[in-house]
Amino acid sequence: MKKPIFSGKLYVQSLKKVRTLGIAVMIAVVLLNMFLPIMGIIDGIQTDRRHEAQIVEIQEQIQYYKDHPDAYLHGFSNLNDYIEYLEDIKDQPREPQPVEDYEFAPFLWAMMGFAPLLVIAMFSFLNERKQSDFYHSLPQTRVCMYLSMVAAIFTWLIGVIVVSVGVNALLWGFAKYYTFTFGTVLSNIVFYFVLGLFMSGSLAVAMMITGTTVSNLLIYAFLMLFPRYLYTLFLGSLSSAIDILPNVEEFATILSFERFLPLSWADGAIFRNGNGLCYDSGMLIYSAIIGILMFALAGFLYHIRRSESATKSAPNELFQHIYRTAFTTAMAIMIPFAIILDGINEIVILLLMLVLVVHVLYELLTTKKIKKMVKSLPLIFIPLVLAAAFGLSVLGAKAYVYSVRPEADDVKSVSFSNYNFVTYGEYLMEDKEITDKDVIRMALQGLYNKLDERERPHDGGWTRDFTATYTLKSGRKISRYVWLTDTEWQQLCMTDDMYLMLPEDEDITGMTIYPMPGSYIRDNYDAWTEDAEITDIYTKDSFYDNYGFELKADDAVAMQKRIWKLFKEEYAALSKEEKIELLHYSNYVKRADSYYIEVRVNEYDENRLRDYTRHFYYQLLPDYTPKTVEFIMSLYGTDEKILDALKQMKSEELGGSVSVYTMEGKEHQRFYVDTKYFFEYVTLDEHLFEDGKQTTLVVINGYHFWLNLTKVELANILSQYGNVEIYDDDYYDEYYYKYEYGYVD
Amino acid sequence: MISAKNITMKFDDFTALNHLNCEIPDSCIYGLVGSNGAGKSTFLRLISGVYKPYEGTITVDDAPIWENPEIKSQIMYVPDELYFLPQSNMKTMAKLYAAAYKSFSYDRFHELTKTFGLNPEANINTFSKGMKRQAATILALSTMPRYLFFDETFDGLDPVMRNLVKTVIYNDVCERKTTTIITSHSLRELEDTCDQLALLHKGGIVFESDIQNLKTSLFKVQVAFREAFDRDRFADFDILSFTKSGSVATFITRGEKDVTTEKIRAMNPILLDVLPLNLEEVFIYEMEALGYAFKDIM
Amino acid sequence: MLVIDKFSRKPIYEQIIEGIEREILTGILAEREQLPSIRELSVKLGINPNTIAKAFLELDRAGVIISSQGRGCFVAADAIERIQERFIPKIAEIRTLAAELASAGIDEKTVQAAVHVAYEENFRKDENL
Repeated sequence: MKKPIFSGKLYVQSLKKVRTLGIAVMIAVVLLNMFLPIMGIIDGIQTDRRHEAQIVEIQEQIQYYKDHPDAYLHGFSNLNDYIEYLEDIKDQPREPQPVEDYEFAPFLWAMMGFAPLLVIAMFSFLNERKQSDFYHSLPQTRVCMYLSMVAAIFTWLIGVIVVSVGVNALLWGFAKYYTFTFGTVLSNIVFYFVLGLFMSGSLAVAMMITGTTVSNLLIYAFLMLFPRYLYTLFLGSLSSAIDILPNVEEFATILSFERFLPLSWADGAIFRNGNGLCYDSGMLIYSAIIGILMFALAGFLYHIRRSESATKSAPNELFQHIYRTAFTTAMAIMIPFAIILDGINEIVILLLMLVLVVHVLYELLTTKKIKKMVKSLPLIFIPLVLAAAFGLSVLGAKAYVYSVRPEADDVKSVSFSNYNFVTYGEYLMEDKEITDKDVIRMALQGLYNKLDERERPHDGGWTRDFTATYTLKSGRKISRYVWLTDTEWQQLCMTDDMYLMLPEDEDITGMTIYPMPGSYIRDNYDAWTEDAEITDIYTKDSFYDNYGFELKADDAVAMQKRIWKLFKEEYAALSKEEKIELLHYSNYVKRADSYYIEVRVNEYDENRLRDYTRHFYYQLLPDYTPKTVEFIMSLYGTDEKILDALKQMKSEELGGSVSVYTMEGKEHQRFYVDTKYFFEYVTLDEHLFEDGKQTTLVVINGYHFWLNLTKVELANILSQYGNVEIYDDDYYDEYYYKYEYGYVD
Repeated sequence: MISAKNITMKFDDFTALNHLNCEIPDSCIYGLVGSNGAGKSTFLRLISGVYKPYEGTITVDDAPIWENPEIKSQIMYVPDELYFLPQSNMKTMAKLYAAAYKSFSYDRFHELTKTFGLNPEANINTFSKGMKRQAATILALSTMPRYLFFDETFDGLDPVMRNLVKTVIYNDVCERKTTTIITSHSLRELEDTCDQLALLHKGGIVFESDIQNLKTSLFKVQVAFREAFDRDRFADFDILSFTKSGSVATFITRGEKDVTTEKIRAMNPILLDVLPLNLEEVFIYEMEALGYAFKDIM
Repeated sequence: MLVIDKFSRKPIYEQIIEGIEREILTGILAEREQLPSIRELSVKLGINPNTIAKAFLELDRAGVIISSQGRGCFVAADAIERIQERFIPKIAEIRTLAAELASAGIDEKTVQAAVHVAYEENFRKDENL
């Protein structure tokens, strides 16, 4: 008995059956897509036209700058660079830019809707008795009919895509300043076909197992969304209930909504995130497989379908119950989710009512029989039972996780991750297996904190959250997200000598010394390598630059390195306690407004395909690294420079502030010297100035001058500015009085 | 031969056909009567391979019909509710049928279209109900099928058309041994055309017979004797219904007409009339004998 | 001429049988002549060919016609005798009928006259043909 599995004639008939839809969509999509490349072509023409006009202007500019080398430069360090830049523009107004994958033929997003519509148009006969009987009376096997029809669907889908892509490829070719690769063309064709496939496969399945349009669409929506929905809710419940499990989010597999093809397309095309059309090729392959599997499943279901299922929302009562239960269960599992997240409150009551509503609505929408709906009400217990099972499984998982409680003797080593590192040593510690007994003991304390639900300290102290992976002697690894108080954490870190290490030279990618001698504006440039870019440009017009000095890039780099070398030597000579103290000051109790070094280290994260820059701070304090501090001070201005600065300020009548800082021992005092507006003399607290030289920082309008002088010398300098009087402590009140009223009796 | 054995067909809780058995020999013109909902359309759909029975087998020449394109291509089923492709005319439908059924004959199609006076270019969906039936009939006949099933189609044709169609069918029966099944409400209609009749009721074939047998197997006897008599006099006759008014008895009996007549004559009646019954009467009495009230069924 | 009355209570196939017999008896169909095909008859008369086939079968069984495979149906050589054979038993009916009439007091002459008239009419008809 010959039973062909494909009928050319039926295929042609099927092509014709949906041709109205196909042609309409093809015309719309092709025309709309043409819009972008045509704009590109027009843009090219306009650019060229404008460029013609510009060429003359540019020539003149070039000539002008050649004749007037002193003319004001915009953003270039020297004239030649600028002239080169202008020459480039003369030759070509702009570089041709590549057309992004999602810009090539963006209206093909319509495939998301076109493919399902094709499926509906092709298989709508399944929903009407007359049509269904007619098709089933035709002399073809079910398989043959199905394959012929699906082939027709695919033909239309691919046809529209290829035509539109082809037309656009042709047109983009004429856009002068836009380029595209064959890869873009291919990826567009493949992506949109897979998108269509993915969006319509489930609909085909739905149409095979239901018999009305309403139930088709309901089941379709369910098949598309439920797996991911369930997955997301389950993970969400897990991570909420068991916050001791680190990075549940890392289970963002192919089932997460991030990797839902239509959403990823929207993310890329509309919000311009990601890598073009699709998050990654794995997602594309998965979606293609799902699409094909769904169509295959639909074929099988068609083979066993009964023609009389037409016009019925489900082939029989049992299935009607199953479909409805699927929906109500989907609603019902929100209840354990909500309970886990927020406990039992009004929301839960609301959700329970919602389950009832969905149950009733589904029945009414699909069967339109009130009596049947009422009869089915008792079955509402099924989804509630399933939801309870969902909740219990989460709680079961939690109980299991919380039951894992190793002792110190059971643990071979521990490693840490997922924490904020403050010192370089903590940074080094990341992901390293540590076998030190004390560290293990304290790391386990972190675990017990979570298991015992110890309360976090209320004294305003910090706590450190981190992920600890305990490798047991049995070989098993346990990862938990735990916490310790700040002090405990530091103790843990300090047990390891890594804590005190400084970054190696070769690891450093950037350095900044705050505040850098020179312009206030230039506080932020960093230099470490020879090809460092100095981002702020020294301009003669800047007010502040009169007080500092120019710093060329190489000089800056050399100076940074010299300072760092000095610092390292001095640091190495410190005792362990001193090192700890210095690090403490550098990171926990910053002594404000003094110098510190910021060291930057680059890190490449393979998981997230991103670069991270880590910052570490080392404060420069004269009690620990006096030589370094001195060296830096020596870079600053001398007395003359201060006088110049003060004079300038006074003459310009701009006002400003002068601050003087001294560091006595480990403290520093600060007092303000106000200018024109309040008084013209300075008061200095006598106690601050013992006899002898003091390290003093004078800041004039943000400009830093380090000096080492006696009280008298300082007073002399400042008196150039205005009246200076030196008061001692007891005259504080008078000082205040003067401040307020500008005079003293 | 079409053979349906032990067929059961259900729709949700409703059993439409219940262990139905039926055999339709080749070149037979088989009439199926039954009230609405008796299961006639269901039966036809089953033997066209549109439905699959829950129980039982349906074979055509010993080959099962389900999912059997070779056999299905020889079957043409004209349903009670007709379907045509949207916005199609008879030409488009003809093309579809020609593509699906190899035996389609354009000659016959043109001939019939002309004879029936239908416009092959006009949109079928604008036709009246009767015209649609005609169109469907033409298309079905044009495929030159071996098996032709008309589901209440004739009820919608006017007598002229009916005769035309009958002529075509008769021609096919002679030439190609076409087997035809016609369902109808009306016995009258089938009486003229069919050679076998069956009554479908409550999911089963209650009664099936050759029409000629039906018409000759039962007859009415009016008899009177000189002496008094009652039913017992005719104890060895197969009597379906007996009434006596006055001295004349009227009864319906089954058997060979000549033999029975002779037997009664031998009893020396003073009055003897042997009359044939029409089909409806036959049905009524047969049903009564079976315990059904024919009026209830039809 | 075969005329079938569809509204008659008489089964159609009986009418066909009688019609053909009549045609043979009246000489419209000669002995050994080929009968019109079932198809022809069916189309001309608008009757189910199976019914006609059944009638032919009966006639064949009675020896009135001979059906030859592939060649058609022919009137038998002794068809007339065969037909007449069927009517012989009806003579007994006349006896019964006569007995009835006799017991009703109808005189023999009247009955004979009726018989005579019937024969005159029929035979006269045959002569005209």
